[in-house]
Amino acid sequence: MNSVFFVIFTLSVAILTIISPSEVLTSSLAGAEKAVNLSVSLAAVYAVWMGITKMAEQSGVNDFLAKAMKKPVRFLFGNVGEKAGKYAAMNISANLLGMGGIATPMGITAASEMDKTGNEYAMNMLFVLAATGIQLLPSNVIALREKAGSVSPSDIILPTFISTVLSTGIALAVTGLIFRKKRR
Amino acid sequence: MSFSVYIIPVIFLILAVFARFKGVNVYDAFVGGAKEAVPLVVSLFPYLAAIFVLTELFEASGLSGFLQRILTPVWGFLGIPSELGELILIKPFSGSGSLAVLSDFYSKYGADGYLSRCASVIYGSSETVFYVSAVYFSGAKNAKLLLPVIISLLAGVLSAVIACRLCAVI
Repeated sequence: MNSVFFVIFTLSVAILTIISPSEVLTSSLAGAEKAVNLSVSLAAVYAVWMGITKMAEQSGVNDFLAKAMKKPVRFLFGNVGEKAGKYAAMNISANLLGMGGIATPMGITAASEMDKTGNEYAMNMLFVLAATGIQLLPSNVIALREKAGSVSPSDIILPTFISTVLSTGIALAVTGLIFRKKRR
Repeated sequence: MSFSVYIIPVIFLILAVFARFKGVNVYDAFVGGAKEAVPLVVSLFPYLAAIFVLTELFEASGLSGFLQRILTPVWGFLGIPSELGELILIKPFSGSGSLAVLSDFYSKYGADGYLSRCASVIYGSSETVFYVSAVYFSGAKNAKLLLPVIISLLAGVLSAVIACRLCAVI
């Protein structure tokens, strides 16, 4: 991330210094303002979802989910330990159902658990899984098409499903192969 | 209306009833969970700020437009209409930005046109890679994500290639 940030940041600022120097600060502030706005709406999203999740946790639903997902989690991440595995299971389930709001806090916990044990393989797999999109039902796109007057808004479900499964599957396989020596 | 609108209400309902059945204090549980939301957002904020400032500079400098021009022949080679290039390039950076581009497609080409369907599939089958890398790993100091980031970006392009092929036949 440090190198990505450095390259894009310096290139952009260098170009702007030449073509329109006053835009450097205004653009930066506009970006930070977007981050503030997003943070406020995220606080709302997380308050709802983390409240709901706590209910699930205390009633034992999460443990049930973790047990049901034990094999796929082991297959994907190798041996990650109980807590990381549980949160990874919840992250995947939420992502599959298109509940991104709840998936993120789970993913953060899973990633920092894996980080504590220095499990690079599992972290990379978790990242690729989350960053290539594993949503099964693109409900937001369907809703948007409906609003735009589409005749059959749900006809994108099948191509989206195939495209997601193929690209995510290939990305996971490549990552797994590259880092296979670090698998535990 | 598709049945997907029922997923979240049904999950909420089942969870609340089941928790109550298990003897959980539903109100206390909800409050306890919601309490963790603000500290989480506070810890995420610097990462969000960095990624949004970067995105804004990337666009304002014309670097994103320049990359798009360079990549036009690549899209052609991959069988992707060049109109879709902007969406493929913006999706890894910004969810709201790519949603705006998607809406533009709907108003320009109609919600059922070939390009709009391709755009829908591309939007639905890829993710905001840089956002995920900043947010998911905000608590993981040892993560080295350069290679996984590159793999994920290429996977996004791959899903676009598949999307354009599929939308021509389905």
